Amino acid sequence: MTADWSPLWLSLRVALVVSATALVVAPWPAWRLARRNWPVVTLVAGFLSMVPAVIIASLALPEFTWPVAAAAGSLRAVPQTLAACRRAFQLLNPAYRKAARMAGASDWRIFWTLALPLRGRAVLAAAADVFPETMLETAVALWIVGRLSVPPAGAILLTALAGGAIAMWLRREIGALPERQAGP
Amino acid sequence: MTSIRVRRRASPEFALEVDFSLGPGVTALIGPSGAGKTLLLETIAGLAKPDEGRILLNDAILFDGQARVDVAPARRGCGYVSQGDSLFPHRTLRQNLEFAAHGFPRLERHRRVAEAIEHFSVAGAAAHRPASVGPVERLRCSIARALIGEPAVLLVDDAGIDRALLDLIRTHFSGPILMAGRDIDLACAAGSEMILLDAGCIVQRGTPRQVIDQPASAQAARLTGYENLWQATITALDRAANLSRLEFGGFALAAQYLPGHLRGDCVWVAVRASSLRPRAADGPPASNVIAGELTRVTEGAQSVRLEFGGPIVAELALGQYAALRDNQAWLIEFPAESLRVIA
Repeated sequence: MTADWSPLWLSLRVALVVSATALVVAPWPAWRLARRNWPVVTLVAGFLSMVPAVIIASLALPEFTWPVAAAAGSLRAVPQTLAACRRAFQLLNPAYRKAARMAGASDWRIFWTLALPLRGRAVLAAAADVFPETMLETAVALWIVGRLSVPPAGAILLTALAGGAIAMWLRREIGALPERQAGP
Repeated sequence: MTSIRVRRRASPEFALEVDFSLGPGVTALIGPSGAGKTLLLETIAGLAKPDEGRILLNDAILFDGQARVDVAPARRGCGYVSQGDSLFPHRTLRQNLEFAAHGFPRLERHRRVAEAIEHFSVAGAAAHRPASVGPVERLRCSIARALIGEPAVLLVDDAGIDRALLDLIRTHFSGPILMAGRDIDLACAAGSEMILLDAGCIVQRGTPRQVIDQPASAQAARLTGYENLWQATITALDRAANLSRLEFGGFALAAQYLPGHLRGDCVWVAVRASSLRPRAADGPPASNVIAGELTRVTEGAQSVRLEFGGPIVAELALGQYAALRDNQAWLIEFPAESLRVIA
């Protein structure tokens, strides 16, 4: 009997789309939020980042397709990446931003010319973190709806582990994700 | 007119509250760490917003709390050199200058960058990133970047500028400079005005000589580096003999006549360590001396610091101390003219 490998491709596709979405969507709001303290936004983002949205979506919807899984996964991944990027941007030397502002640079220009080049690796690492988590979450969702057999489950687990290892290596290699808040 | 009147509560414990006008030339803003120097400069530059007040630069309103005017930093006409390294580390020195000249048309931008590189002698380092050039080039480039937009006022925050660099700045920038720091010697040598700032408030302002020689308060004396500061009571006043007598805790000294004071007044007395004359007790007799017990000797590059019980701090040139090195009993002479009496 031939194993059905479609769950592996589905979870891979979902994880890639979610990581890419997080990478594109999260950094700019994170930069805008880096110097502000908005407790409501932080609370909502914190709550969303904890919700296993793909699993909930798989239970709630009659037909579990990859766009649904990707949208649900993004709902959790974007706030999570946003929080990590925000911490990374908070570590950017405030003197750079002040010098740029004195030179008349807009927030958008500072983001593109200073924040991203200087903290871009941290942003990449934050998005890379999302990949294994989304893969595993999608696998759990597929298992719940009864579409996951043992061989693809093993492959998904191995791929997720490999993705996690890459994310960890990125983080360690580049010291990307700051562990402390920025000083004054 | 350039005037600054601002109030900003930065924390429950600290509030910046200043009101002064900025004259031409170099104004030295002197104060200890945490006095509010950086906050004041950032407030003028527009990087920090005051709670209330008004900032005028050449009669143009930059900030007015009541009228809700708050001009953006780039449109204020202020050049700002921050305390630490603020050059963008991923760009070369030339690219840092180009960043600051971004708003100008292409040819004008090239001209300004080329001029800045030439004026501040960073041609050799222009193609390098900040991490691979020395601190002097970095500082010069920071200043060049701050001046590239031809600001109306230059704000320099404790950046480690020396006399030669300040002269270079003055060659290429004729506007007022507000320079925060702790170097009283530089302020005295190059400043046309000095402002003493402590705990967010102006303690004293005037010409550097005036502020250094005539501290208006004990706090001002501390900030201007008077090592000896004691409280005393005036016990005698003799206008005819130009004498007053000051009673301290355990000793008394004669000082010049103190106009405007009465007997029994409690005053502060400040004396610079370099004005005191420690001598051997068995030396020639002198007036206005007290005996002191030497507790500590610290040798510096040019002078020796002697600490006596009391505490009294004196300073001697290395040669003078060499002659007194083996001395056992000490007398400290207080020249009457060196005592600064503060009401």
